[in-house]
Amino acid sequence: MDLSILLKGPFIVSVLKALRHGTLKTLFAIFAITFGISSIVFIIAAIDGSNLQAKKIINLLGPNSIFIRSGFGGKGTIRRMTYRLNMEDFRLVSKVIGVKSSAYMMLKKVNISVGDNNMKAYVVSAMKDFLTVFDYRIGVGRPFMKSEYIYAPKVCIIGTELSQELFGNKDPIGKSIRIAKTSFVIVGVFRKKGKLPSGRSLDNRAILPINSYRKFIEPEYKRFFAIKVKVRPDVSYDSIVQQIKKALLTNHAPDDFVVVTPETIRKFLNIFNITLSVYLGLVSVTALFIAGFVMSNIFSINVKVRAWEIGIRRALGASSSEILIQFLAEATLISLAGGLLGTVVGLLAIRFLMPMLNIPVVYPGMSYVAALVFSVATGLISAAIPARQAANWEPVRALRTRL
Amino acid sequence: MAIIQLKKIKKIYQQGELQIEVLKGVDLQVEKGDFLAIMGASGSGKSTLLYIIGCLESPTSGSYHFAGSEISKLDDDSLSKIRNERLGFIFQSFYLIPYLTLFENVLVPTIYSKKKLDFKKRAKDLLTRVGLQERLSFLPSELSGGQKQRTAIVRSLINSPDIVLADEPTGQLDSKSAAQVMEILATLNEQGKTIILVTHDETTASYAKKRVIMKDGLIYPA
Repeated sequence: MDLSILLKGPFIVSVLKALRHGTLKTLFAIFAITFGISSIVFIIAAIDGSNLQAKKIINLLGPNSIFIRSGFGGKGTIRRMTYRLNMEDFRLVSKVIGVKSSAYMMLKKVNISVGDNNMKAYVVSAMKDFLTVFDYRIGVGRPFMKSEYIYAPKVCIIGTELSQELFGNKDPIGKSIRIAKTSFVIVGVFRKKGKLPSGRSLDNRAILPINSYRKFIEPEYKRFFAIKVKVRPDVSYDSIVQQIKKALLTNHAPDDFVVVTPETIRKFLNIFNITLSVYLGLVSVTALFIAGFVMSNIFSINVKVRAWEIGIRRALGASSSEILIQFLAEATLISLAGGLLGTVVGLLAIRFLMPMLNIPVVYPGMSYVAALVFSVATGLISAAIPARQAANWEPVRALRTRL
Repeated sequence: MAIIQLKKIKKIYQQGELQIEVLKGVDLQVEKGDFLAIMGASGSGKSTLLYIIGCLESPTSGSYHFAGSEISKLDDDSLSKIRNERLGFIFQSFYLIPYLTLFENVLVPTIYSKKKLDFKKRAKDLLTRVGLQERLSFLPSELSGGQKQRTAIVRSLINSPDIVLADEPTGQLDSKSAAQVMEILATLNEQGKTIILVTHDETTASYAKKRVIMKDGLIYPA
């Protein structure tokens, strides 16, 4: 097929003016496509965003890790009273074959202040191995020393956000802060860890050596929030998880605790992903199908109304393939306009709807590619039959059907 | 030399069970430079004959030689090319595309032409010759019948065809506009253009140099 007419001035003018001439039909077709394309743009970003979410959460968990946190199944009036894990659990979990290292974590929301600068934040207990098992890396300063885990020194390590809040851009190392009722010296700042899926930041915490935590923060308390273990990569991950569950079930009901592994995160997010994909996929396929149907109808009316125009063009020398090209060009322009508008609407949906669905906002390149491909494909497929019909009319028959 | 030679041309339309023989074996020869009027009542088959000459329709049987080549052997693309480069059409109801300006309408045949000429200049020259130079950006709906037909004449001439075919060109015009249009065609013929005209109107036919009469699908000398 000779496509050189696409570049001819009078042809381009003719196509554009034909579209303008049928403004209402053109706009109708454009909006139909817009609807379909915007949902495709959105669905791709939503899937991409939730995949990113999954990766982020798995990264937060750290490599070769299993995280066990207390369930909130209890009926206590204060939530921390329902923390169920205890030293016996920790001992059992640590003994599971394949567990390389383990640590537990206690935490409490307290007042932290420097001078008049006062805020509520979490303070966390650190037993030996805690920093490595919970993947805290020191950015500035130093980790706790061995002796600091044995005695109860007034030292702490804080997060970057907390440092920023209390000291601005100044170096916090060696400075004192007040945690609950005691003054501690900052010896280190841990590197940025990011946010939990719930949106809570992990970087505005203070960490105390375990015995300091016990002495100054919660002297009576014997239970804790979470246990985390690092496993040996040569032992089956699943069997370790099974053994840990079994160990915990000796003293607990199943909803007393939650075992979080990369697998459970992936499974949870996959279910979410599949539901989202199926739902949005159906919406966009339906929308595009309707768009194609609307466009096909508009084009077949268009071709019938303009039959004599096709006839006169044929009489003036247009070949049947040139008639086909003309109508497909009109369809393509409508599709591209719909695709462009659909992309804009889709981007707005990503910007404003995804935060509501708690999905990180992403603008994947695939969205644009898909918008282009699906819009043009819908246009060409739906216009193909009417356009071919127009192209195959005998010139004389077309000329005689003046409406 | 004859530029058009029709031998025993028949055209039969099938309408359900019914066969309508519109042309019953037409012989016709048109020389270069002729100005021929085919006259006849409506339904006599004169328009069908013109459409066959114009390669818009193919005969059921018979042979049609155009400038030496047998038309029935050509495919759709070649016929389109002949219509584009060698034939110009003028119709009773003008057939100007409503959403294009007068100037853009005149350029429509050039979309389908492979020639690389300064068509815009040629269009302006021709439009000046028919007195439409002031109306270039008018839409067809803003033109009178005579102006529309003069535009259609320029459109038929834009690709410098060998032959201009006119189907009742004055059918929708008042007598003054009709005379203007026919004067233009007569002048074109004086300049060497071959013109074939189909009409039932005596006055219109009087501009032609030769006349034949079509009756019941056959041609008779006037």
